[in-house]
Amino acid sequence: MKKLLSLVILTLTLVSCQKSSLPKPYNQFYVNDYADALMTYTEREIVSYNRYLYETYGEIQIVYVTFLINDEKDIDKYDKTELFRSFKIGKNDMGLLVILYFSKDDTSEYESKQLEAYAIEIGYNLEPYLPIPSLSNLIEENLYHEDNYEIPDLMVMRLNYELLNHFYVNLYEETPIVYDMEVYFDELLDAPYLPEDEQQSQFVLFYLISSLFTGSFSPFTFILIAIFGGLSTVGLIKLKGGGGSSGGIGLFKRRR
Amino acid sequence: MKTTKYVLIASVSLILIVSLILGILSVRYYNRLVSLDENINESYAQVYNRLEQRHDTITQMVSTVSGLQEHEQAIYELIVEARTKYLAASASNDVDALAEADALESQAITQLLVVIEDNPNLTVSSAFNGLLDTIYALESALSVARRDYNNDVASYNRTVRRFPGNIYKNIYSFESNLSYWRINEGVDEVPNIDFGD
Repeated sequence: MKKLLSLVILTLTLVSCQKSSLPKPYNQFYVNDYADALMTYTEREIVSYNRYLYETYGEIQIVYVTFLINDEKDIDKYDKTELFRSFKIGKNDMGLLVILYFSKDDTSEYESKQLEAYAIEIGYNLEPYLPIPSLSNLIEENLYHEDNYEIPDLMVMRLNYELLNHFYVNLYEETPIVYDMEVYFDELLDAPYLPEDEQQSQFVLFYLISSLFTGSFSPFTFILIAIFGGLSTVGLIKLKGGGGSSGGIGLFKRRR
Repeated sequence: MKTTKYVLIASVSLILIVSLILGILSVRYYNRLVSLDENINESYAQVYNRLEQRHDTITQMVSTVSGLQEHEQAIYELIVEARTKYLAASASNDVDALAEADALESQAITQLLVVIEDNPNLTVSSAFNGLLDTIYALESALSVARRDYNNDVASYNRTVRRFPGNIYKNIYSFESNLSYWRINEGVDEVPNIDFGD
């Protein structure tokens, strides 16, 4: 019986670990910094603002994804529409996906990332609220704002404030968020260091705890890993997409 | 006597069970075929909607370019020809003809962009770059819509060709093999031209 249970759990674990060609969203969902270009402080700020928008109005989800690229070919690795659909961004097809492609800046003395291109994908029902010409202006003006000093955190944060304000003002007739990027920059400099790989450390921690209880490798270990390994790095909750889809409308621009 | 009774009951039960299974399968396949057919209709509507949007955008785009006189006629002719073909294809529900009109309008866009790039004396209004972004966005959306349509057609064709789908298709008089949206490779790609700001 025990052997059978182990076999079932092992099979389930292997099936759940099956590789998909598209990356899975992080538990915090709204920021998926695969390029490791952003500070944890910025990620948390964006997650809290964007989560508030979604949980207050129940429709729009703005999600960021960053990829590290070595050459042009890496940009074509993932289709933006497929990524949007696999993340299921926004409720009632009211989602927005912002993909930022970074490369390593070898000229800099410190390890830094440079923005090479961006891609935007708009959910079906958000299309009328984000006409392409105005979206293009909004992105260009805020992503490449001279006061961002080419710092990815400032670029993304300024863009996020403006996108949020666009929706608050035009869709929900709310007052816009008042922000000061200089203040944000100071906050960023003062922000305490938070380890990036929190999820992995949680995983290891629970593995160790379960091993202490069981004394050895057992199905119980698998159960603990399956339960706790899937919980979020943010308050132990896994944030999810609202089930939205998109039809390929958006932007893709390389940096000039 | 008793044996005959048992055989009769067993036979009737067997017939009832088989009929029930066939009935359930029949309803299931009918609903499945209807769903697949509806998916195709939705995808087709999406492609058509994108084609309409693109047509409106390219018409606006031509009007933002000044000094286009000598090239304008040829570009307009392509757009008008594509438009006429759209309407005819749409009225007859001819997917191949609609795909042809789609390719023709892509050619018109490409030609317009090439003309502008080759003639620096042409002036474009401030709205041009925004419309160009819209064209790129619509090309991307069209390519997704065509892909979705073809995936839905593939799914339908697979079901009606396989057993027992082929039998139910005949019983309920569904169509046999639907046409894919075919467009020559590269025709739908708008050249990436940088006109600056």
